[in-house]
Amino acid sequence: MKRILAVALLVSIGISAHADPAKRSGYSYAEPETRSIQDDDFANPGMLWVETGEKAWATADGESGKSCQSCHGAADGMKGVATHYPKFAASAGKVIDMEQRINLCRENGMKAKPYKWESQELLGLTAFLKMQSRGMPVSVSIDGPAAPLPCQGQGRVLSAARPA
Amino acid sequence: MTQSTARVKVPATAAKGEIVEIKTTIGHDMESGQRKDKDGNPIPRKIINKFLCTFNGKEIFRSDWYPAISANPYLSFFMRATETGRFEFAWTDDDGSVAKATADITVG
Repeated sequence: MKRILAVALLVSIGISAHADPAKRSGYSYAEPETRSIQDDDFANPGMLWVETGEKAWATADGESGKSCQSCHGAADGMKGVATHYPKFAASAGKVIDMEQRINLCRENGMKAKPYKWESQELLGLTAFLKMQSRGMPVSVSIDGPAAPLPCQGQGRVLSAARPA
Repeated sequence: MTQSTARVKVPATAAKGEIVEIKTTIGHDMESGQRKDKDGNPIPRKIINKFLCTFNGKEIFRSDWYPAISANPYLSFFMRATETGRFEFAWTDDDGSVAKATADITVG
């Protein structure tokens, strides 16, 4: 449930007009009542996680004694970054999402324990980082190393196939 | 969400006699006491059981809360603005702790 709330907040990313009219933000499918809650930062419960993330951003942790801010500076410098995730990370050798990126930073940069999946801090930092890109269109690369594997995209075929 | 602080939203100014909306929210798990942990032991109840709002020291809104209230409770109510003053809000937890917030309004 908590994850749904945090993600609901993030749906507001990409409200702005896309070049491609066929692409619509999930926000545009929501009922007006749901949208009005999302539009009001006070009523939007996702903002509680943004607050948690804002605190985590500036809190030093791990053996390096660093916080996110120590390397990345003020959070508004991260504007637009979240629109590119999920993204291929050369250091991981695979496509990773925002949560995995945060935990890579924790392990490699901060020498801290990675956050537990679904933990308040991880959800919070993710929501806070995505908040910095609010209103920007999503811009995920699906070519080069992030291109789908040959086996991907076969789901529809497999799903429709009758067992022999 | 227990580490989150209480937030309130009140218009900074209002005309005399105007009806204003007061919005409040607080980050809280509102653990109902009905759930069990993975070993089957009940998770003890820990909720906010009382909300109180005063204006210039006079009580204007009070409510008792029960375990069916959701996590991170949001509450809004209305008041007719008659004078300039300060709202004080208090959320009382089962453990006795009280979270507080204040907001000012100028009427005129």
